[in-house]
Amino acid sequence: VLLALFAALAAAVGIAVFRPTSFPNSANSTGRNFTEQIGNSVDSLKALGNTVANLFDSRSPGQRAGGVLASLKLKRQIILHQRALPKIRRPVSPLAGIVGAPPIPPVGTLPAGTPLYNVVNGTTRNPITVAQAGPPGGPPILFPSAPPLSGGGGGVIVPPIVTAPQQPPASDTPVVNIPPIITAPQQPPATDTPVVNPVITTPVPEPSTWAMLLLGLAMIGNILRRTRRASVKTAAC
Amino acid sequence: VKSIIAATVCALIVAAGVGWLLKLPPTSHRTASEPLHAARTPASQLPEVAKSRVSLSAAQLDEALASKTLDRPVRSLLEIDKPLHFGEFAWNDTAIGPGPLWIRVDLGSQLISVFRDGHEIGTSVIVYGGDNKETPSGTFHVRARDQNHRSSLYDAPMPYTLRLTSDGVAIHGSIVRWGAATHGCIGVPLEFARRLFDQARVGDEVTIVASKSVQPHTS
Repeated sequence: VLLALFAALAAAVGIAVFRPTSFPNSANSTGRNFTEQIGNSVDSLKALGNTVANLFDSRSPGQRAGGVLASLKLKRQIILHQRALPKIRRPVSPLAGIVGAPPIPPVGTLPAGTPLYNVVNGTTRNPITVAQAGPPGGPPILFPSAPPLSGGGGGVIVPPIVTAPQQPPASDTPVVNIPPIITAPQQPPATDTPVVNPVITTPVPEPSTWAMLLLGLAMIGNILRRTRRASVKTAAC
Repeated sequence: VKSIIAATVCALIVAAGVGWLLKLPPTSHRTASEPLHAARTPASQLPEVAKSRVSLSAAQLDEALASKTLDRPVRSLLEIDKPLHFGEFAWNDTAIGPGPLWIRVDLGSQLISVFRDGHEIGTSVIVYGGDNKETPSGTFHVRARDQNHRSSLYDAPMPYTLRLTSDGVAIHGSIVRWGAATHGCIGVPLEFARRLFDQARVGDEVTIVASKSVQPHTS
């Protein structure tokens, strides 16, 4: 409660402090910029003589560049597209930093019966096998390690049915003779081997996380504002 | 204490963002849905720059008629010593008697001039039609006046409309700023449009020319 009250008070103070004030009209400032450029030509025109055309021209903001409106929107779209393209991230293998790690084959190409391993620990306990190749085009269906019951009915996930404790639970794990895929954790820790520490995330976001979130919101708001401004351009009849 | 400081910082950032987003855009950035009438500036803040007028000599008038800058005798022009900014206009009709009204629009220099009885009483920077929606040149007559017209083609407000052609080209109040263009109409600042609307009557002559004498700006 105290925190909420304090936050509300601070918000009120912040709004009062950052209350919007008038800011310079961008249209006027833009005009001023290039009328300064025109100013030289105005002087030269006046030197030629005070004809009526010169009188008119001296008060003109200048001729409009040809096609300024038609090309403006297209250029803007291209620029936005170019800005957005480098932000597309490709999926990176989680084993990219481990020495000697083979690339993980895509899941969709695994044949049926391939055991999957816990890649973090390198152990082979409780391997999960791909029981069915799954529907074409779709991901394979993962089963816990259990003898396949009937083999049919692809697409239905069947829980392992324990009929009787005929075997000790340890022998429930099939013995796998395939050498483990991950070799790095089994080697003695070399000096240059990167140690993969598990990332511990706290359930409560840090203030920096909040700040980044708010910064993102502000950027989205800015983009929306600019988009709204740009849409005014051709609104006039 | 640490959490309180964090909450304060977060609240300040939120407040700054909210205040910044609530910041009203300037009048030249109104959205099309807002009525232009609501943003009329008070008379004390009008961007008028005209103070006096200059009379044209006979030589100047002869030269103007010969070069087809003007197509009729004009006695005086408003004296404007610096280029007008977008959104600015000049208006001075004191001591000018009644007479025929003539509107001269120059697309090349992006200017409109209003003459009454041979004297220029107002001038302003305009916006005009962009590519593929070009403003026609020629001599037109005001076909209709409509104070609160709304474009049926573009669903845009056209306050103080002076209609010129049968297909909808008109002079009306608009957002006048650099880089803007219209769908063929001639846009003038709202207050200028109001004054022009008061002066113009159906049948008044409007000449639209596209002079080439002004340098194109490079910005």
